[in-house]
Amino acid sequence: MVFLFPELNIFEEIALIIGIILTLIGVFCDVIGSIGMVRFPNFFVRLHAATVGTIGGAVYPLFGVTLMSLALNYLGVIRYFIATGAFLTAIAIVLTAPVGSHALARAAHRSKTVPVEPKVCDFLREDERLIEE
Amino acid sequence: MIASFIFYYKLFLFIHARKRVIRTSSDDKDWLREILMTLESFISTFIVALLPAFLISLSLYAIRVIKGPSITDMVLAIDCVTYDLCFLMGLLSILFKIGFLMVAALALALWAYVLDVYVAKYLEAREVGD
Repeated sequence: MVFLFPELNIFEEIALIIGIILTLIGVFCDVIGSIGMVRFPNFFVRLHAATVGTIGGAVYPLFGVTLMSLALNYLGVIRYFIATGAFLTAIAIVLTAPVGSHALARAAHRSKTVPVEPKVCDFLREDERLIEE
Repeated sequence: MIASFIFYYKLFLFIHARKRVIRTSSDDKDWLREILMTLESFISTFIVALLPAFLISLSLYAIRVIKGPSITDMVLAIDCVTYDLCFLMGLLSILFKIGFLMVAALALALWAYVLDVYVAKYLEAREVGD
């Protein structure tokens, strides 16, 4: 019944393995997002790397930390602290990170601090001009 | 990058020294079985082996924080650094068995959101306002 760890039952072992897999996915997304943040040429392209680094690199591994810490017996009462904190942090990040990056992109486009440099057409700028006229 | 290579070299040396000690002391104990023997040693080895990836990603984000051409690039990179630190504090609280690190992680996540909204408001209206 028990594959690797004889001191856990089957549910704790499944939670531990899922948590380890989510943590590995999170570390992989962290490295990929940081490479993209350095290598991408433009601010509006770097938003994509930032999304990979926040949602893939912080939300999934925090759910993984939740499952992993609920499965660990030797932590005692501390595991409920860690599980609750990790779950609340993951919920806060998944609610606030898209809002923050969207507000940054909107402000950067409207205040003209970042030029939209390699472009074919910019419908948002044309709409703003129409509204001003 | 160089520090991570040095870390892996030291881990390699440590594992081989441990294997030699185990082989000389007892007969047929493998080092992998020794790591997997208790749950705590396995989880500690797993978390410590993940730390060089955090070193690489945080240093690459720090490059973008320092030489970002506009201020929005810097704020975006600071957000990514903060969310990575939340994840790292979750792992360290399991490693060190401290439960109160996650409270600081929650405060860090909300602080990054406040920084986003304030910078966006200032760039659009040239004042922070209400």
